[in-house]
Amino acid sequence: MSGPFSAIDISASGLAAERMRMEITANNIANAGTTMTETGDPYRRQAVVFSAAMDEIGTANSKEGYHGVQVVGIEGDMTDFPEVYNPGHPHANADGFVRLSNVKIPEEMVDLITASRSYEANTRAISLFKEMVEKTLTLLQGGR
Amino acid sequence: MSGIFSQVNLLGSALKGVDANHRAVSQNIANVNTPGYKTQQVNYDELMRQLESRNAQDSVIDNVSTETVSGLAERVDGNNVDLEREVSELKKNALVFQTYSHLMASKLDTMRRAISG
Repeated sequence: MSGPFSAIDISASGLAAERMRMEITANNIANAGTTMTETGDPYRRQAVVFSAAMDEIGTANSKEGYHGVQVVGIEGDMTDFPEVYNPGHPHANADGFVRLSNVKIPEEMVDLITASRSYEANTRAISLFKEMVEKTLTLLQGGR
Repeated sequence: MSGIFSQVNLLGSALKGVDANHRAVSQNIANVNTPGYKTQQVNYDELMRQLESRNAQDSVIDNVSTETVSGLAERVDGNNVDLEREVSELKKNALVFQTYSHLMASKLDTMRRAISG
């Protein structure tokens, strides 16, 4: 993760992380109506956890210390499952209440937008770096 | 000014600083959703001091240090990356790079003309 093109690796790690977030968000939306999973609970909203990837030395002051971003894990959202009264539902309990998934569609939509915007910003960083490298290469060819 | 390549070395060091800054800004953009991450940038004061020192003209500097940017608004998760600011920094950085590489190209061009007569 170092060398002349490490700037691309940094941005690429950002792309990978945002893609991961996009996948998790899509999975949340797809399961927004899931009232029963293997555990017997409704679907629990998942969220990715990011952390800045640094060297073991962890110095922010060496440029070699930059390794972009990494996904350190996926965690469940521990908020309560909302309950609605629907006695006809196959997953209703004895009192007629159904526990629904704790995914909130508007929040997921906002997450989708921020993930795609961040993704775009990372691609922009890659293309600008590419321009810079091309400029340097024309210097080598004796061009202007 | 000492030596025939002093200007080339200076420009090389400046380009190195621009490259390091691009890396820092890329790191900021990659971490726009990382809780607690703080915006980084090249320490320009330090870079200028290195460029003004005597040996910057003899060879390209070997290390550019970065620092945490102060005075940015933090979000709830402790992250203070402002995406608009970073994208414009990126663009500014690319323009500065272009300027230095043009200067470098014309310097080398002049040398080439002097050599070939």
